[in-house]
Amino acid sequence: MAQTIVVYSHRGGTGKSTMLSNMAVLIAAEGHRVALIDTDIQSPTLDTLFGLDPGECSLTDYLLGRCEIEHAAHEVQPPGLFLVPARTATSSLAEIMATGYDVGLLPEAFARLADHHDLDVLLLDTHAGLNNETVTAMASADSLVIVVRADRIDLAGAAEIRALAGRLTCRRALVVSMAPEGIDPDRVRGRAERAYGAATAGILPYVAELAELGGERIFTEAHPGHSLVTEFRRIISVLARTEEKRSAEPAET
Amino acid sequence: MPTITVLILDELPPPPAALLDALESVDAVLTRRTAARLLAGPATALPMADVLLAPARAEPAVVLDVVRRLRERGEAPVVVVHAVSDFEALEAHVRLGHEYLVPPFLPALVGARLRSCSERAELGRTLREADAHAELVSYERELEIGREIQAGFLPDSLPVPDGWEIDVRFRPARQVAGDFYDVFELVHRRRLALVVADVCDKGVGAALFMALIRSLLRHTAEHSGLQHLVAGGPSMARDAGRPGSRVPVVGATPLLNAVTATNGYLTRNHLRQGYFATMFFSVLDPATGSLVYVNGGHNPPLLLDADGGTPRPLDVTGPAVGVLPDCVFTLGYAHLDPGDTLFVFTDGVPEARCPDGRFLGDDRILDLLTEPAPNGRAVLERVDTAVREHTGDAEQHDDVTMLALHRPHRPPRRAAAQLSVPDRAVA
Repeated sequence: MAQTIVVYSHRGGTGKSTMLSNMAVLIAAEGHRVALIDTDIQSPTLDTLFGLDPGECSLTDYLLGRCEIEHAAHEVQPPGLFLVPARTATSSLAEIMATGYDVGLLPEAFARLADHHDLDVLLLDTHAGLNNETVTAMASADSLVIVVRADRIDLAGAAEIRALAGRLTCRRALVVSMAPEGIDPDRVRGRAERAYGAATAGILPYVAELAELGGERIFTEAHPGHSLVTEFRRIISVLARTEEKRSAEPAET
Repeated sequence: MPTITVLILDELPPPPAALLDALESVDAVLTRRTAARLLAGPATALPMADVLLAPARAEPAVVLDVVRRLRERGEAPVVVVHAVSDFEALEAHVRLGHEYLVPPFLPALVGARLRSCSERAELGRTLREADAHAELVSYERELEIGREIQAGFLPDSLPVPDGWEIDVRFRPARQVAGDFYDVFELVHRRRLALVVADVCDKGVGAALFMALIRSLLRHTAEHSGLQHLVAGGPSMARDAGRPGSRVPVVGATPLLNAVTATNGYLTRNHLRQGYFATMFFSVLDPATGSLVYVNGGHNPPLLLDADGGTPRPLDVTGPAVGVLPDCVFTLGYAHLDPGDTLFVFTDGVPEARCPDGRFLGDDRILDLLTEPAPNGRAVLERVDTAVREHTGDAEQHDDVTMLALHRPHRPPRRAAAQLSVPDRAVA
């Protein structure tokens, strides 16, 4: 049975899509069967990151009844990695916003895809904040990763996230991103864990080379030896059952 | 020659002897009554009369009152006034269209006049009967139009997915019915909605509410859009989804929206009229056989195992729709394996009455369904035969509606679950 990992952040620009796409590539490179689903219908990113053709079927096409979810999953590199883009040129945002869709189609899509491709890991990227796709993705999670920027830890939304995540029975973990050089990791970890009530799975440094890629290439492929890649691997080892299991129990608060 | 009936208005002066002799000679049947007696008492006690014979001195208004009274019995008598003097009194009667007889009262003349009046009276009676018949025909025509319009609220043909069979029996007790059934596709043809409902009462009132409820249910289900999980709060975790899941299953959103919105509409706008409906509204996933449903106070449908045995009832999950404002409907879940049949029916089936008034009964239905049946059509045939035999010559008291959803062991064309992916896509 596939393990479902969901990344979430209260605000945009925390680097969750970057982290998740790199995790997907790294897990697949180890020989596991992985699907990465972009549930961010409002502002999709993963299709560009993986260089997908704009005419390909997407999650939105599936929700609008134009294709089945199996047809919206495209095999990308490395082998064993399948990508479901949130929305491509074939469907407009206005259309799905106007007509809506049966929200039960999302968990059904996750389950069917896991079954169809015999997946080990299912990774779900989400829109920042709370909308139906994000809440549904979170409700489907075995592990929920809350991504928070090092300079914006004490957000007003933290209590809201904590309350919502508290209703879920899945494992929760924190990732602090864009940590500036020279930061005190213990202090950052402590602040984040107090705010969100979850253990820290990793602290990602701010990396200028990432910005240079302009969101059009996977960092792991461009800079395989970079310390950021090491940190991605560490997060995977904490979260994914594919590696030796390590607990990420919530910190005492 | 037909007998002429003459009602003599027993007022002064009485008919002259010569006139009475003439009446006798033409074999007229004579009855005497005073105006007071004719105007009082029940209409059924009034005598038959082709001719009302009155003295010209009788008040025309009183004579008209008597004629009106006689018409209540379906008579159309012609008034004939008589006078031997004071001929001026005739004038007021003639203006009202009354006939008159004046001396000499020769039998041939009196006879000819009375026969002419009798023929007019007969014609009048026939016309009144024709009017009444025309009214009845018009009423029946209106009902027939109602029946045709109502038939338009039932599906023309049923969308049956590959690998499934759906059979229906629908027999209204009167020309128009309160029962209805509906089958339609949902969620871009990925799911199938099946509805069987029973609007309380019978006849035109129930038929009007049937049209309303059926339309509200179907329209809301087909346009229910997105369930707002964020706004919905904790319900996403508790009520809306399958046990163990936090998100509604596909079809649960249109289903719950349709039932709760219809209940809300009826209780907001029509509570005073007292109409409500019991209903079984289910949504089938044709690819897997999973069924999610709301049973709003309806007879529990029976899930029949392919191998027979005691059927499993799909019990109520909420009250009848249109009774309680803001009530909660929960979801029920079932699954049809190959060979299984879901039998949905209205209370006209167990409550079919034999000539001495006894019901067919739930136990009898359970007995009928415990034996395995090869398909849904056979199930309906078995139950319908029992209903007809039980009813016998007695009047059908209630609408009878039955729907059977059957999943054959071997789908006729292709395996539903395996090959459903390209099949379910909508161009």
